[in-house]
Amino acid sequence: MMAAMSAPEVPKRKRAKRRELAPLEPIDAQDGPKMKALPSDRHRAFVRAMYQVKPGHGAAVRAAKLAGFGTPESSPQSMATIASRLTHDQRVQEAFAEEDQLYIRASAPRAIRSLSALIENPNSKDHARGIAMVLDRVHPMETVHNVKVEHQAASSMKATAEVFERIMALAARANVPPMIDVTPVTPQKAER
Amino acid sequence: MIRLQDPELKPSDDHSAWQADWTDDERLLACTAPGYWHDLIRIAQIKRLLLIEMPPDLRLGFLQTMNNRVDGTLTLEAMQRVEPACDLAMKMLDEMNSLSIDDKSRLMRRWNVIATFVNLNPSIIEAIKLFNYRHNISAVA
Repeated sequence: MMAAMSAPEVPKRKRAKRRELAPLEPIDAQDGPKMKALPSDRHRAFVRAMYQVKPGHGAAVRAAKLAGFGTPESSPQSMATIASRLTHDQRVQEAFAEEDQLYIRASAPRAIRSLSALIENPNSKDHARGIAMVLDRVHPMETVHNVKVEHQAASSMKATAEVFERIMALAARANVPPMIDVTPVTPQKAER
Repeated sequence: MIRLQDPELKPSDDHSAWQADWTDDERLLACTAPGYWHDLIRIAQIKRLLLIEMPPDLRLGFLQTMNNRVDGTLTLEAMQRVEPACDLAMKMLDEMNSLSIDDKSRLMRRWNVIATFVNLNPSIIEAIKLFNYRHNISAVA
């Protein structure tokens, strides 16, 4: 108690006034066609919220609440039903697919930066894997495909005069009847 | 008429006795390389096939194959002498189609097989008589 009485009072430090946020520059970012096709802004907010809430059990309910679905009196069961219907809506699922692509593409620069950091760090246990990944993309391994094409030649040779003469000559040489009753195809007919 | 071996694979002594018992045609056949047996049977088969209607390119192919069999030994006259194969010989050849080329050649080298073909088509032995041998068969005999 004595110590408390003797201790000098430390003046309370006043917090500085918060800096006013500068107005955002207008960014002409647009949603994709599937997001635009959603019936309301709340649906769009739900789709975006699904990427922000903590993943796991109840994530869809939390995203639905963030997007403004339900009322303060809505029971957990009602909110679960709303969230389930939203996540299984065909339009919402198509919007998810569109947003998946956007998020993955937006993550690419950071992934590349991390990969660059990885290959610069020889002490990393995945150093060799990082190098291999880069080399695979810069100098892809050559693969050779052996494709065996079997072609059964149809009887396509026309009974041209030349073939006819050859048959007659060989048949006479072998002393067998030519047994060929087709007349040689004229050049005009052969061209067709 | 070529006599069949019975049994086909004889012991040495019996084989020598069988050789001593050959007729002229059997000796001529035995002294002909089995590859030519095969060629003559193929010629007979092709001649039979050429009796049916077929596309001109296929006919030309068969005629070329048959004419290509002619060489220094199997003369043109011998090729011309072979008659078309009969129905039974064609059926026997069809049965052999399922065999591999090795098995087919092995089968075609057997005495009883060529003897059966020659008996069905005696022109084969007549064709062999027109072969151009470099050595005298009679000297071997």
